[in-house]
Amino acid sequence: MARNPLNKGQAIVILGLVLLLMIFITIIPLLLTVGLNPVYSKQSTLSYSQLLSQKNLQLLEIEEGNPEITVSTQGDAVYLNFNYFGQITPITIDHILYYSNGQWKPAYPSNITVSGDTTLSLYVPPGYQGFIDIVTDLGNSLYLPVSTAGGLTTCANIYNVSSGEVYLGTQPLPVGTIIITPQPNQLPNLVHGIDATLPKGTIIIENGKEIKLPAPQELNTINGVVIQKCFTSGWYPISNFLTAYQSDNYTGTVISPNSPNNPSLQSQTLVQWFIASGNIEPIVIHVTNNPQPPSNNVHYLSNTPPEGGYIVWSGDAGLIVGSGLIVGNGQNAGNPGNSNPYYLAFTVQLKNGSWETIVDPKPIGQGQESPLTLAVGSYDEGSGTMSLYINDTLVSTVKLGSLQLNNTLSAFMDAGSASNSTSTTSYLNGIEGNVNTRGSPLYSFNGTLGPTIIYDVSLPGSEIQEIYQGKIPSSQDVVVLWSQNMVLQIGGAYKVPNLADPGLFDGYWGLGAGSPTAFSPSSDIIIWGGGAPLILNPNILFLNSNQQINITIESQGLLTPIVPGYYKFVVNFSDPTPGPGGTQPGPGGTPEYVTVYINGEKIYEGTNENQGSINTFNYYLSQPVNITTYFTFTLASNQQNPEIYFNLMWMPPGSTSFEPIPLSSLTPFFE
Amino acid sequence: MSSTSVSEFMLVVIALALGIALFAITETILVPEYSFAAALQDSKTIASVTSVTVGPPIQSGNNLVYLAYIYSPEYKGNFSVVIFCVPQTQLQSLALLTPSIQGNPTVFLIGQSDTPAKQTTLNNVYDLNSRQLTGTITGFAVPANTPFQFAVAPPSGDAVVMWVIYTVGSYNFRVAYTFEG
Repeated sequence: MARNPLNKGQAIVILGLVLLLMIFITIIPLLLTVGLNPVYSKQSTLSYSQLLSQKNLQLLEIEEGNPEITVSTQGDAVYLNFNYFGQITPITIDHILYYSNGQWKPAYPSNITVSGDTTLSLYVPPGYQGFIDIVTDLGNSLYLPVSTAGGLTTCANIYNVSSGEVYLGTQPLPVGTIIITPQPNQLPNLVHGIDATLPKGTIIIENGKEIKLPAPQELNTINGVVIQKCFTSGWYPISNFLTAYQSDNYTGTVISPNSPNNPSLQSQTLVQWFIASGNIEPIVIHVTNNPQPPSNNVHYLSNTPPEGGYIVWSGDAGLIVGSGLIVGNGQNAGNPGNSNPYYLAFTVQLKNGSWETIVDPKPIGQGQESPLTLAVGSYDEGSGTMSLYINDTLVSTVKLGSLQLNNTLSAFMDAGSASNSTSTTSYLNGIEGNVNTRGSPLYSFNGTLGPTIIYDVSLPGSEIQEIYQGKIPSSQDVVVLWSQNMVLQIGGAYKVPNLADPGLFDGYWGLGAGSPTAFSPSSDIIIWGGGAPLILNPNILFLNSNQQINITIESQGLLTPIVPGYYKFVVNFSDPTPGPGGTQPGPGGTPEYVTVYINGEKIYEGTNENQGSINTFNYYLSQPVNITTYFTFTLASNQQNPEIYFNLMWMPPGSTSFEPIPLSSLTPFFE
Repeated sequence: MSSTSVSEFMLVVIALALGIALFAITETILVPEYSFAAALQDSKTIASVTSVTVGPPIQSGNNLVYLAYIYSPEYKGNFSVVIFCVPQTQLQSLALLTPSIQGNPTVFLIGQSDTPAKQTTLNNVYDLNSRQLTGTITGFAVPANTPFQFAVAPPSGDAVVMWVIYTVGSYNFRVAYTFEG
C-alpha cells in the first residue's frame, strides 16, 4: 500500500508540536518557579572570609586607637569623640544609640563617615550618663559608657528627705528624715512629684523618733525630693571594716617589693578619706624666707618636707594632716602633744629638691577626732598649679609655673606614714611594706583611713565634686586604688590590693611595729565599697529596743572578663585583719545574706552562717554580662560595734588563686 | 475515519497524556524539589555572610532588655527573629533546641518604640541541613542591618535564644542563631 506523503508530513509536524508542548509543560513551571523566587540580590563580590577579615580588622584598629572612640561630657552635653593616634582609616558609623527608660533610641540623626579627629554632639537627654552603642557599616557594635566612671552602681534601701515638702499621708516629714524600706528598689533613686506607696514594714526615722509602718502608706513628694543612698562607682568588698587604723605614730603601708616603689608621677591627684584622732605632729613648714601667717592661696617654699601626719605620699607629693599649723624657720618647731584641732596641707617636692606647700588655715572641725573628711591634692605639671580640696571645696590653689617634680624612684609610696627618719630631713623615703620598720612620729598620721585613690592627671574641680558624691571620674586615669577595706593574707604579710591594676602597686601593711591595730574603730557604722561612704549612725538607727533593721545594698553593673573562659567566683563574709588588736569579723556576728545574679539568673545565694560550705560558683564569660548582687545585713539594738563584710572575688582562666575584681572590669549602669 | 487518521489521533492523545503526566510530575515533584533546593541555596548564601550581635542585657523591671543587630551586607529585606528561653543546662545542644517557652518576648524597632515589630507566622522552619526544626511558630519581622531591641523575662536558670529566619517563597530557613545567659 502506497503511503500518503502529506499525511506523513502532518504527523511529523503534529509530533513536533506535541514534543514542543511537552518541553514547555516541563520547563515553564520550572522557569516560573525560578522567576517567582525572591532570589537573594546578588552577593557582593567580597567573599565571606574577606568581609569577616575587614570586620575584624576594623575592630582591631579601633582597639589600637585608630580611631580611639570615647564619650565625654561637658556640663549636661554629651559628645562622641573620634581621635586618631596612627594612620587614619576612615570609619562609617551607621547607628548611634542611647538607652533610657527601657528603650534604646537614636542618639544621632544620620550615619556618618569619620576620616579624621571628630567630635559629635549627641542627641541625648541633658546629663545622660548611660551607655552609647555605635554600629559600624561592617557590623561591629561597640558599647561605650558616657561617664568614664568605673565600678558598680551601688544603692542601699535607705532614702533621705532632701528638700521641699514631703508628707507621709498628711504628716509632714522634715528634711533629713530617713526612710528605710524593707526591700531595695521599692522607690526610684530620686522620688519627686509623685505619690509613692511605702510598703508595710518601712521604717521612718524623724527627729529622733523611729516608727515602723504597720500597713502601706502614701508618701507625697509633689513639692519635695527624696533621694536614695547611692554611689555610682562601687566595688567589692562592701564593709564597715575597711578602715585602716594607724597605731599611734608607728605604722606604714607601702608598695610590694616586686613593684616599682612609686608610680613616678608628675601631674597627679591624690585622694584620701580620713578621720584624724589622737596625737599627730602639727604641720610645720620650715620656710626659707621670713615666716608669714598661714593663708589660703599662698605657697610656702622650704628645703625640707613639712612635718605632720602624711595620710598619703605618692613619692613626690603628699597630703598632710596635723594637730596644728605652723609656718616657721626654726628646727622642730612643732609640738607633738597637741591632739586638735586638725589642719590639712598639700606638699610637692620639686626637681631641685626643694618643697612647695599649700595649706588651709581653717581647722577641720573640733573635738577629739575630726569628722570623716575627703582630702584631695592635685598638681598640674604644665601650669605648675597646686590645688587643695577639703570635701568638695577648693580651699587653696597657686600657680608655680611649669615646674617638674622630683620623681625619684627610690621613695616608697605610702599611706599613713612617709618616713622612718626621726629627724628633719631633706627628702622622704617612705617605708617599704612587709617590714618591721616603724614610721617616725614626725611624719606619721594617727586615725582612720578610707579609700586611697591616686590619679596620673590633675583632675578639675568638677571631678573632685563627683568623687565626693561617690563617683570615680576618669577611672582610666586611676593608677592606684587601695580600697582600705580588704587585706589579703599572703604568707605572713597582709596585702592591700590595688583595685585599679591588681599586682602593680599593691600595698603591704608593715609587720610588727609597723602593724595597724584596729580596723573598725569608729562608733559610727561607716559602710564602704565605693568612692564615697554610706554612713549609718547606730545612735540614730537603734532608738527602739529589740528593734532589728535589715539594710540591703544592691550593686549592679557590667562585668567584663579579662579573657574569655571559665571564671571561678568566691563569696566571702570575713576578712583577715592584720596586727594585734585587730577586730575579727565572722559568723555569729551580724547576720548577712547575699544573692548574686548574672544576666538576671540567680547564680548564688548564701549567708555568713554557711560560709565554708558552698561559697564558690563557676561561670563562663565570653563577653560583658550584667552582674547584680544583693547584700543584706541585720542591725540589732544590742550590737554596739557590728562587723559587716561581703566580698566577691574571681579566679580568671589560668590563674591559681582568687583575685579582686579590678575596677576596669566593672562599669556602672545608670537608669 | 481512515486508519491513518485514527493512528494519528491516537498519537496525539498519547502525546497529550504524556505531556499531562510530565506536567504533573514536574509540578508535584520537580518544582518543589527545585524550589526548596533553590531556597536552601539562597539561604546558605545569606547565612554565609550574616552575623548576629546581641548586647549585654539591661534590667528593666522584670524584663531583660537586649539590643540586637543582624549584619547581612547587600541584603535590604526583613528577617524574622524567634526568641525563646531554654534551661542553661541544655545549651550544649543549642543547635537542636527548639522553642517551647517563648517567655512573652516583645520586639521593638529602634526609633519606633511605640510600634512593636510585626509578628509573623512561620510554617515549617528548616535548618541549613534541610532538617525541619519546627511546625508553625511566631516570629517578629526585623530589617537587616538595623538595630532592634527585644525584652524578655526568662525563668530563673534559663538562657535566651534567638533564631534568625530567612524566608524564601514559602520556605523558612534558620540562617543564624545565638544565645545570652
